[in-house]
Amino acid sequence: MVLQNIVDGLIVGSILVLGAIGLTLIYGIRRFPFFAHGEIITLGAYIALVFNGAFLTVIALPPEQLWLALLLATAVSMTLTALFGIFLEISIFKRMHGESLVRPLIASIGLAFVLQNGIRLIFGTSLRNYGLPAQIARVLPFGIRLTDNAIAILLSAFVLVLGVHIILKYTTLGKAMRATADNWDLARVTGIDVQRVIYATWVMGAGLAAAAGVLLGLWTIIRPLMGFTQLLPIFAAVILGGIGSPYGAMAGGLLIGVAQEVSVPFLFSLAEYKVALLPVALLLATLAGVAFLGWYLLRSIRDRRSLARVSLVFGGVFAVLAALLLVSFAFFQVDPNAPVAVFFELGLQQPAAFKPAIPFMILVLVLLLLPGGLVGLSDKPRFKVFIKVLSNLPKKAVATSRSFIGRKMTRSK
Amino acid sequence: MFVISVFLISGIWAVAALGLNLQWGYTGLFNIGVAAFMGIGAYTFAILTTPDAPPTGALPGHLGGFGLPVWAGVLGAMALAGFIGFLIALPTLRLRADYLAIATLGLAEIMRLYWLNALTITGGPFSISRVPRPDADISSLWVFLTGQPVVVGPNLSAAILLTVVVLSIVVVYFVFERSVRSPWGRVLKSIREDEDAAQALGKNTFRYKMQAFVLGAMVMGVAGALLANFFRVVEAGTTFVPTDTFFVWIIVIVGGSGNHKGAILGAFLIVGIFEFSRLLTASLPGFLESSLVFTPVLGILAAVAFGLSFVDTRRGRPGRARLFLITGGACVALMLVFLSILSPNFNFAFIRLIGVGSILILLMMYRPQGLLGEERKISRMG
Repeated sequence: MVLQNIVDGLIVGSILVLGAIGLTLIYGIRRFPFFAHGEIITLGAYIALVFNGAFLTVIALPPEQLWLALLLATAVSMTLTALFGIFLEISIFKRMHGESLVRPLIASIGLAFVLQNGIRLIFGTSLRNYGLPAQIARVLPFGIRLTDNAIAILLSAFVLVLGVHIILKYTTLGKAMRATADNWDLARVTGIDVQRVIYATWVMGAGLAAAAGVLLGLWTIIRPLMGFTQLLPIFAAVILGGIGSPYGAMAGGLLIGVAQEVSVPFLFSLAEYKVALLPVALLLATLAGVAFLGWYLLRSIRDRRSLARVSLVFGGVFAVLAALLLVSFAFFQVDPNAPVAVFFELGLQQPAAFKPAIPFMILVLVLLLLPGGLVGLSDKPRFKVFIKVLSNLPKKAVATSRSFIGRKMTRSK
Repeated sequence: MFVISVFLISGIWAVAALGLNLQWGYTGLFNIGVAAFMGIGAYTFAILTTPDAPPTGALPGHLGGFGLPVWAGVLGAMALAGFIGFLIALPTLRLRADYLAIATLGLAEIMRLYWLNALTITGGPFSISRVPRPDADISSLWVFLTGQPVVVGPNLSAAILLTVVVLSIVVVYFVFERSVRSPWGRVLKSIREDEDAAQALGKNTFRYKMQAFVLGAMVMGVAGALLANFFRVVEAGTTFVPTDTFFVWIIVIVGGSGNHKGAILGAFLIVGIFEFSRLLTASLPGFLESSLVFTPVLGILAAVAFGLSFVDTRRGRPGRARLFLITGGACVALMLVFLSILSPNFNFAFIRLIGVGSILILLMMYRPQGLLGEERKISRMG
């Protein structure tokens, strides 16, 4: 069951990866969060829908070869959407170049609304699909079930990501793109044609978004809001991976996808362990209280007062909560099922509806703990740095605790 | 009655826009989760003030039955919106402005999902109805004083609500005007202009940003409570959607960020245009035939304008060329509107939203400071 969820997560993740690579490139090179990226995804899906229908009216295909028309339509859609990206740069974003990120950011929000409602106007709000025949899932080893669509999504995402990798690593343009994302001024000084790089970014970003839209349409359904609902997980993937890093976006997208798909059945399964919930809640509250208090101590050592006070408040709240739970459980013999009722009253009756909350939680955690993301702004092998930092943590912890016990020992170094 | 409704809605959006103006216009905090804070305010208000609604048959009921007076509900709405604002600002305010934008966008989505799915709390898609208006307080006071029951008609109820809305605009306006002219407000503006410089002068910028954000969120909570008052129903299916956030943003930007008068003017202007354009929908059948005539005419006009613009560019008259280019663009836009009427999925609401979105893009391209621009504040000494 968990394996199946992981595979589902990889499928969703690979769609997110396609969206996130484009968004992170635009974010890194054009230096603003492009809030219309979700609508570009939707646009790609709808253009493919139109051309899919057009091809099928011209040539009649047997049901088992319908995917050929869709493949062709996807190629057309990617091309047209990429051209649309260039059009956006020329018509709107070029004149806002080199200023703060605010103007293009607000313009991109406006653009999102124009595109979303334009799509509604032309195609209506009804649900569509690509009209592929219904499929029976194949059973793979370990009881994993995959439809042909799922396999196609995984394969095409892999091929596209491989293409991106080859362009970024082995072509001059790709190297220029990475250099520009890394350091704009330095890239200019080196003689890189930045405008060309920007156009390439829009082509790549919008084209990949169109592909993501088609794959999303295959996996779920085509509707005007399909892209917008994926914007949050895509942003979470971009930030988790580190803004401007395509490889970080790949890792981030897959991680977010898997986390999202695995955690939801976990939430469902909570309902089966109602009795265990109270002790678990008790344990969690205690742990959280201890963690926050510990954090408070660490922070106050480093002289970051305001945050320390906040963590003290949190720690206090959790500690009080833990104490209350403990008292009510131990002395008043509360029915273990009663708090469960409260827990479910808080709105967790339909855990599946809260899927987007998982990327959001990851996003907030990343912002709290690791604002640079996994990879950081460059695509230098920061993973090594990351691992180095991780491996240094015990040493650091010892040093901090030492400094807590006797400050002079560390200071004398 | 329609005009009063438009005034009410404009006023409520003006309150929300004042809140955003403090966050964005003065402090430069990028909050695109305005709808979330308004929704928190509305739901808190509704849950605190509505009579009990136990689950009956198909309806799941919702949390509530507190039956508190209206003013207590508004206070609760302010408090919870401010608290959620505090929580979301905690991890993001130390980072760059765009992180706050993404986090608040996420908050808005999550809150909407929560409202739609937490059946026993919010009633989910079945909504919370029978939300009391401020006249409930007044009539209960009347009953308390005279001992006689009183019935408030819909007109009087709307008038009282209008008074309350105008009062809250006035109060928020004067409090904010006073505070942005104070040393506190000057610190906010210095953070917006250059946070590092403010920090170098020894200001705890995190703290100031947090105060501005929480204050703005509280005002948005009040706006949400007023919206609940107005509709008398709170539901998350069509209200508190990203469109609402977008609306508040365009109000602030059209009016001019960093200008409280601009925010109020923008609210009345934008909501006025938006609501009165609904009247146009009534004459739609006539449009259908006219679009068959107007579409080709506008197309030809656009082609002529573009051609003239090209000729003028060649002859070195950039001013005229630009004028023709703008005319051509307007013709194309109008032509697209007329063309879209022919679409089977035509709905005037979409055209309106597209128009508002285009205004936002055009403003950002040509006039980022908005209609009024930022007001220069001269602070009083001492």
